[in-house]
Amino acid sequence: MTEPRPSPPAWAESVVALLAPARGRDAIAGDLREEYSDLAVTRGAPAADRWYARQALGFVRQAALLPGLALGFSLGGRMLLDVMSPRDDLAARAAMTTYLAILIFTLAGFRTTYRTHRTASAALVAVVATALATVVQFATAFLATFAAGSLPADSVTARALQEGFDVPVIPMVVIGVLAASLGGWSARMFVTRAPWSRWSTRT
Amino acid sequence: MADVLGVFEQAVLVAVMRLRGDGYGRTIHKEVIARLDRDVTASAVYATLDRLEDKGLVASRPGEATPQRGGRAKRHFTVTAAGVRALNATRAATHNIWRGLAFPLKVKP
Repeated sequence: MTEPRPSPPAWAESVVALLAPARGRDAIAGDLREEYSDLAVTRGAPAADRWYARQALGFVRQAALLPGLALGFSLGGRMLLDVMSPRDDLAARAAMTTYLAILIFTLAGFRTTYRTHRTASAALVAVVATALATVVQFATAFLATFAAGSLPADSVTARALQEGFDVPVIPMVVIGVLAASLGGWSARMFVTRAPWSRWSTRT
Repeated sequence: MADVLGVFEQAVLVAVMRLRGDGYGRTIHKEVIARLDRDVTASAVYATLDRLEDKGLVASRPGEATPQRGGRAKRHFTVTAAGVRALNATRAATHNIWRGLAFPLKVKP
């Protein structure tokens, strides 16, 4: 009786299927599977699994790093602005940050779907970008708190720094997925159908 | 004037050239890792190949499928005439930058 052939982690294969460029997606999946099979024989299945997961995360990084950092720096920048130039009414700044985040998510969704032809990839990028932005925001808030030293707890600056740790992750994920999906849908509707597009589906 | 390529683009294009038209994603990936002497994710290589193809510096054609690949076809890459010109232009630019200096550079004490 022959042993069943080892296969890559299902989640990693799904990520590759979702984020690999539409042009040559099958060839990419085949290349990775071929290398995985060889590694499973020469170094064992766990090492091959780790290798495949690293490749899948490479696709995630490529799609989500830029929007994640843009989002993180916009949130961090907003917090630093609140710390350095405090105001009683922050509604205008909050609205600006929200619109900027929506723009970043929408562009990220457009860019990702333009490459992959899959709207679901835009949603995945939105979730990962939010996670990255949260890390950047926490790091910024932590560094700013460290740099500010000891402050009276009721000071405006201390309150602004405190709010820096209060990242609205759930609303960001919801808004992000919606905006990125809208961007992805736009990419599918307009760009993939335009005759001048390299992804054109028109014949 | 031909494109002047970045280091990673050069590594990918040289890898495609060295594989003489038989290169496909996996072999190009391995060749790039060997050339750069560092770990590189496959996604970076594929993104660069995609960009080089958009610029017309490489061309691709479908290859054979094998059971080991899950029945998926390979995609073979070749360097186009424009790709060769871009490599020559890049090599010439690098040579010009270094003209008059002996390699390796010496650090003054």
